[in-house]
Amino acid sequence: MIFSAYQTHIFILIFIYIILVVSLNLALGYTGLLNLGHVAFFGIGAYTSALLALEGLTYIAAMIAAGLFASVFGYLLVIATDRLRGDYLAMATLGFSFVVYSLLLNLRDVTRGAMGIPGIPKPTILDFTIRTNDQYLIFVLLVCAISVFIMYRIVNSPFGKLLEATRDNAVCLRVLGKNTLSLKYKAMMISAFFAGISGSLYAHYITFIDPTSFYISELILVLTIVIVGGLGSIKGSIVATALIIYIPEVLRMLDLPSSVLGPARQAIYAVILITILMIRPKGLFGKVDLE
Amino acid sequence: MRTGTIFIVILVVLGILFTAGCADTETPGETGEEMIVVGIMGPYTGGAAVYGNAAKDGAMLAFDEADLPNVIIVVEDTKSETREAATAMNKMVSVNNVQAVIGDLISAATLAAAPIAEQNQVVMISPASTSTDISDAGDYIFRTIPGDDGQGIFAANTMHERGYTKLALLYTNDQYGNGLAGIISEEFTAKGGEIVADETYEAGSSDMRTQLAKIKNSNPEVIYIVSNTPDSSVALLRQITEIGIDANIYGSEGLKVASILELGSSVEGIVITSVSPESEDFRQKYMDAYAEEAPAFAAQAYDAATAIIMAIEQGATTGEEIKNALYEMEFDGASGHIKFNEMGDVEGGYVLVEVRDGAFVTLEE
Repeated sequence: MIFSAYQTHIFILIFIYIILVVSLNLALGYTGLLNLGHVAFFGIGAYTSALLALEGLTYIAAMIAAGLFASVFGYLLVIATDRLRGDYLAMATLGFSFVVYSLLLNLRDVTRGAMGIPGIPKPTILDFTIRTNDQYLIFVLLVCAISVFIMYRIVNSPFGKLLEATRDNAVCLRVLGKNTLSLKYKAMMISAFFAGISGSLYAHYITFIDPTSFYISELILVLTIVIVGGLGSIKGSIVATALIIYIPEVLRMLDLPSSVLGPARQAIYAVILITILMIRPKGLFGKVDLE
Repeated sequence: MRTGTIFIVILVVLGILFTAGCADTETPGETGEEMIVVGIMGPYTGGAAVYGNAAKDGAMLAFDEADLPNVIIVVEDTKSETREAATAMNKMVSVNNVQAVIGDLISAATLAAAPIAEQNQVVMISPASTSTDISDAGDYIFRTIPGDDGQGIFAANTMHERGYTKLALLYTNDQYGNGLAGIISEEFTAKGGEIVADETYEAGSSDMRTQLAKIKNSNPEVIYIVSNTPDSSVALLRQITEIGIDANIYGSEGLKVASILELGSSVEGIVITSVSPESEDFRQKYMDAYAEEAPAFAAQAYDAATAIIMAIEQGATTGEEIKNALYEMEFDGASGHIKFNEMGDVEGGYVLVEVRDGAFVTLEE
């Protein structure tokens, strides 16, 4: 392989996050749902897949189940918040993140709580177990390509145009006889499904998960990427994921003392976010403004 | 827009080249003599940074003393997050070609990095992770701090021997709290005791009145507290007095912080189970080097480094050879007697510390 295992590792993370970020963009950018609960879907997917695989379910089945289960929560989240819009929706969905975190932490009989789940098996597909980083990269690349292709087709279909119309002018759409609530359900469920898939990929790659992996810092990272890439742009999300996951790693290579490097790596997200928003308020490839 | 796209592509490509280029320059073995790279990883930013830096300083002290000509040290920050820990381990393994790593501190981070170390035959010695899951993490995974089971059994035995039968547990809802409380609960009931209350609180919170009210209603003879932030410890003890619980108070190391002594007479008689204190010799060395008291985990990290140094001095150069040497060795380290069992764990010793006349007094066992 031309890349070192370390670079392969970074690429794997980038592809996992591309699925997560593009799926958030589907809800946030295309449909205009200010969803701060996306990282909860990621966590639900990771836990579902890990627990099912440890029970002996084959990997592909566990991964699909992770997506579907996250999707169910997407449905429930829309039921709970269907009368809220804008900032209020953001608050409620942020609450959803806390609720899921708290469940993961306290349903100790199922999730082992704060102890986390160690020893999650690497994926096995048709008797072939993915062990090395290179093999995992190929697998993740494949899943990522399929997922992004599906989401790309969705947003460019007539259905995708309806989602954008829901975002831009829901009242007008209702006048035209469209059911905007049903559109929101569908958008959120699709978005949650792919977040669940990426959660599954993450859990089986790192092989250890605990509730703190799916909390605020993760949410901030994902939101930063979507905003930097631009709302309503899949291309933007992909480019921004690559940038934001890669840049802190480049810093690692500079010969700086760790007392400088650590804070620098932490500050880099904020610096990128502010710089890009100053130069291009809609993000790199964004088409719409966040209301 | 087009120029923007080109700019980004160039940036990404440069990034890839940059991270790859370093792989060549840092690979050891080009200077003729075979260099051994040892990694140190831990949280140097974020909430656990104090402990991370202490461990790093402790380990560096051992390496500076030994001054081995064929050893290179690399340091990676993990913020004690699982994803960062996996990234740091991958980077050290494939770019720096490390043979042994000291770290991580938080059990979750150690568990996330351990499979990568195991797969690449790199020795990993944690100076602070106490989760019992670490025992099963692999052949290459060691630690110089005893696991939760050690302290849990010690605490349960002590309380049982002192004649208590009704125990209330109050602990932070994190990996450490759950792990320790789980073992105590298991051991204490096995000895015929009863757990009358089992309450948790979120790490860092400062209001435990609800939990304490429940504990009061359950009428325990003794409360065991697992707290690992000073603020929570102080808040807890103050609220125990406020609510008027008259049970005896036992606790884990987290209670052994100077700030609780300010609570005065209400904390008199509190008993703390603690890993054996670091040796006087180490304390002095640390003081000379850094002009401050050795913080928690510095001694354990020093011992982890010493173990690796001893293995290298015996001629081990690869992760596998270091691993084999570790299972063989036995020495008196800064944190106590070090002998790794077949799980890569150390026995460790524990002492009881009691608050008497406004000071922590170590009880003779």
